[in-house]
Amino acid sequence: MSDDFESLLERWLRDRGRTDRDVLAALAGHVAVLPPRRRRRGPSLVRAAAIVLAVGLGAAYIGTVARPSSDEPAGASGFPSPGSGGTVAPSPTLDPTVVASPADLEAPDWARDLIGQLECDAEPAPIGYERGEGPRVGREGTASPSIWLYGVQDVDLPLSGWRIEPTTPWEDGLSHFTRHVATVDGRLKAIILMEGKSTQGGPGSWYVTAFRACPAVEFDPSAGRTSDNAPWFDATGVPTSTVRTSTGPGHCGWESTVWLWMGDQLFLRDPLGIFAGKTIGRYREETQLPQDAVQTGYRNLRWHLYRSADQDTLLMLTPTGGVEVWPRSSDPFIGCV
Amino acid sequence: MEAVLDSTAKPTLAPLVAAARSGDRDAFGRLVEPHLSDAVGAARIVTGTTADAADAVQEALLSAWQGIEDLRDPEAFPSWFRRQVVRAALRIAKRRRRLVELDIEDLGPDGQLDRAVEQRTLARAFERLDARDRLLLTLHHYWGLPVAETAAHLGVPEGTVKSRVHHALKRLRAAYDAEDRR
Repeated sequence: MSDDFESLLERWLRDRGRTDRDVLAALAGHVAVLPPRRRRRGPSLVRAAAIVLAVGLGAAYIGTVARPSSDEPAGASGFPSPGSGGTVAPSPTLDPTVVASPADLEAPDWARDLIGQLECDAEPAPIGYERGEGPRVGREGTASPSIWLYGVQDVDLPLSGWRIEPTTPWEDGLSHFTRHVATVDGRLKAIILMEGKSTQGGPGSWYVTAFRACPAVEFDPSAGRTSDNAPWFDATGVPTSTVRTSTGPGHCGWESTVWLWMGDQLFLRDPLGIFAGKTIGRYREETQLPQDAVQTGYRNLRWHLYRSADQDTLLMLTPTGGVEVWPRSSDPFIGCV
Repeated sequence: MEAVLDSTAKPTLAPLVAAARSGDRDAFGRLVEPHLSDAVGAARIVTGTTADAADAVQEALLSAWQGIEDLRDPEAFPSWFRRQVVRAALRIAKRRRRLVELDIEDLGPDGQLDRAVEQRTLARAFERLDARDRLLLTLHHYWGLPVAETAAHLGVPEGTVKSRVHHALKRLRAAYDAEDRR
């Protein structure tokens, strides 16, 4: 490889990597508003090793620790019954007090009636709200809902796979709308609307102002779900860190999996069979709990946790009454780089 | 006798890391501030856009803030933080597969056409690489990391870093030649 080409590459990288001061200022501002640090229970040696090797090496690490505290108020502790109505507010970890408003904006048609735009197979999920009907949530950031999604704990939305479609033409410093959509086979399953201002293409003031979604079973199973990371509660409704879940590391293509840590054991929700051969048994779905299932009392937004009599599988009761059978990993040191 | 301060002693990061662990955002800010510019630059190269780069660094900041208890050696904070950036940037780059067309005006600070065209060709060639190759070349040629840290980021033995860089450069060169012929 010629030195000339490497020199050209290095010059180009320096140009390409030049950083806008406004971006740096916004990121520095982001540090000042980081959420409270999560205090973790002192892990046992084995668990610590497993966390370091398996979680620490993958985006599951990000998925786990980047989530707000599992000690948040127990607003999500209920197990939603099918068809329950009402509107669920966004995560309490987000700032609903933001009032900065580009109120002078004329909203485009696609920013209205989000629920009417969905193409659900069943009734839309009872979550979210339309523009002007709920809080503006978010902080300084880009016109991307990714940070917000990682903070959402109490509603079910796809964790990845969002596309911007469409967006208003924007001019630096002026207000702007973007609609983020998640589709399956071309059908629109979830929408997030953001409004705000960008600064030289970088972070500005951006807020989620509306979102709606179909029932989560209609999402792309490989996209991961925000509820993968929902906090867990014990039988008395107290938040617990004994059970923790997080989406599989995305940079290894494992978003479709959910990792559950319980004591020193790792269990995997693996509907696509990515970890086949590394688990004791396979993931499967059943219509009812086996007779010898042992109730643990642990639950979160999405699952009630039972264990099999042999302790090698978790039996996860879902809001629709179905049962997911999660096998135990034969290797608690699973990781990716 | 007057105390003699050793002006060559490198300040330790341990007090800042300890303060950050106890929830001190200012301390955390002082830890990350020296690395933000390079972090955004590298993330921009890997992800392709400033917006995605900012997202990646935001994620990295959040993950570093929440996970700083896992940092065993405070002096390793810079490389540990870079690892958070790398993971976030790679994840976003893979999630948002797209070809980024760059305007000539954005590329050359001096506006010279030949250089701008050359750089645009290189930009297109770079976008042809997969995210791992982009990351590898960024670690090696932009951050200039030592082989050991590059190997740690990639999870490969040190001995394979050079050959991977060599092959990534070959792929880039081939992509560049192909773009040049367009």
